[in-house]
Amino acid sequence: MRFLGLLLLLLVLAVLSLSAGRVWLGPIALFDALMDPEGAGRMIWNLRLPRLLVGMIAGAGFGLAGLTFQTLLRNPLASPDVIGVTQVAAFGAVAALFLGAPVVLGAWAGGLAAVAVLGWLAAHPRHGIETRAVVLQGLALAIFAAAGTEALILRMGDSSAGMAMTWLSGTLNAAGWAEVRRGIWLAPLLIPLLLAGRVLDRLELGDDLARALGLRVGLLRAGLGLIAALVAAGSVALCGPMGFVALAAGPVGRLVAGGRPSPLAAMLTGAAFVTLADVLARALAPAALLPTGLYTALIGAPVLILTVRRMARR
Amino acid sequence: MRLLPRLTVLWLAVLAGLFAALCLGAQDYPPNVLWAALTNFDPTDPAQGIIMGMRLPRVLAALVIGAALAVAGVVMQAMARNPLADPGLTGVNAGAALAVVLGLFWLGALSQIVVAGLALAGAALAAVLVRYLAGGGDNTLRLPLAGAALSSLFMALVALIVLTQPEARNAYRFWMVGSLAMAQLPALAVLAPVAGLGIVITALVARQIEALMLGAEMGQALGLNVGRVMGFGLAAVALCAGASVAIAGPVGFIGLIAPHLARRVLPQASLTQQVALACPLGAGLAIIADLLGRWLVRPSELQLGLMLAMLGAPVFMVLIRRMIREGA
Repeated sequence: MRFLGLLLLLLVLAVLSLSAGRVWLGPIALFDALMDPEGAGRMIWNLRLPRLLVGMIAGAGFGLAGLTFQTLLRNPLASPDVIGVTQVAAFGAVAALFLGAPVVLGAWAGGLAAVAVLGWLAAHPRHGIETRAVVLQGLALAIFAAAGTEALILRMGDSSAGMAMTWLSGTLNAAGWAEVRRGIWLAPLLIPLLLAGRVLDRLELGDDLARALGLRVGLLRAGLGLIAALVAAGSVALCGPMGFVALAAGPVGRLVAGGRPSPLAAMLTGAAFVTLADVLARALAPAALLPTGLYTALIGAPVLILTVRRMARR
Repeated sequence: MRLLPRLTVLWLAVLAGLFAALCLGAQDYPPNVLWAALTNFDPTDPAQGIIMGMRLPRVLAALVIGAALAVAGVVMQAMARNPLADPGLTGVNAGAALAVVLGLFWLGALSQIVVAGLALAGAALAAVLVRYLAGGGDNTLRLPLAGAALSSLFMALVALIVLTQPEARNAYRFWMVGSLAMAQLPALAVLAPVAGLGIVITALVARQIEALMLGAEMGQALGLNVGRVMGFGLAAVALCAGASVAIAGPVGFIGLIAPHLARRVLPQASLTQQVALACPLGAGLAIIADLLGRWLVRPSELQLGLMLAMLGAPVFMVLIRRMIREGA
């Protein structure tokens, strides 16, 4: 029932996203346009539809990766965009652009490197990974990677620098059908995370109990963490490091699923969140085409503030 | 007096860095050109013009903001009882930047005094807000997190406001990433005293803050007015951070690193001694970071904010790694 509600919300947002922009379309005009891809609907089919799809794919990836990291590290703040995974992936992507290599590969290399560095930095000789420390280490890693990316951008020419600046806050302005096709290639990576709901459920009980239930905890944590890093980095390659989607999707999806870590709910929430932000980006300032990531940050930062506040109360 | 010799050495080092920063850059000039520019300035000589007209304001600005941010860091770390506090990491700088940008957006061009006033107000508000969000008790981890959330919120707002202004990309860059490229002597003449006032206030109340941090009863037994001491501390942070933001935009990590270096230079230093040591350490850090930013990628340059993030973030990570290993 709740999932149905979430799906319905996503659908409504998708329709809104197709009708919003410099030219607003009513429901009937939108339907007509969708039926006529060659004539009146060309703008919808060539611009708004791929934009919507790329946003939903990237949002789904961010949401899934967010929930996975948060559950693996048992910390609602440990989402890839807070702990620096997306920022390092963005650095990798820009570096790949700089060297003329495929952007996705750069982003993947960055995401994996971030996980490795964080694991090393936060490892405790006796207690394994200190999850609270991961968050702080990641915070610094994020700042470091963002500065490195800007430095790299400064080395590029001025024209590409402007584009990269927008891209770094996360934008869908460049989304076309090529990006949609690239996004579809990410789907196989999403499947293991989607199916991991029961595993996440048990990992949440604590390592000892999970082990008693027959899980190979270390292997699962490493495997799921690496896949989640690849998914988050893949989303970054599509639309840049859109802030706070991964952070907010986990807790909100959990709320929808009645407190359980539900990958499906997190995925739908992530997709809905990016779509909502993109509708806002085009509805509020259609001429300026501000980066969608600014709006996800504006909506998502309060989620982070509330989470910290709740930690402080406890 | 273990303090004085150390202070002397540090300030001499800062002076050396200052001269180096005046000589080196996109073009390197030998010391005798610098000497001629300082003693017998000839405005028609392009080399001397660059040194006096472009590099001197930058280097002096670096000196001021380095010292001010370092002192703000010392005070914040003491008042929050948190070794990871820093005006950049806690969103205080971002708050000041947002206040200035809001002012520029609504009121148009502003005089330096108004910019400084806005930055002060923004810094103070953000400092109070982040302390409230982080809550009391052991907030070692929560304070930087609350600060990160606040700064991303503030920075997103800054970006939103300025990106809607088509011709404002340079301003946008300046208020997002701190830089000294726009430092000018007239503005510095107004803002440096503001930062200086913050440092003086800190020096005056450092002992009271330290006594207070030993415990509220102890403080009351010593006859301290808790609210007033905290108020002065907050004012000092706002003055130092606000003036720095007004000069150079939001610059992070000096306030984190300089106090730690100060405690290294003089272990068991009192808060007053930390303040005294943090001034040259922060100033030196800012001058060196700015010099590196100009020198490494010449003839272009890396903004001071970027340089410090790349130097400072690893320090932050290593500090936490050490805290984990010692803590358990």
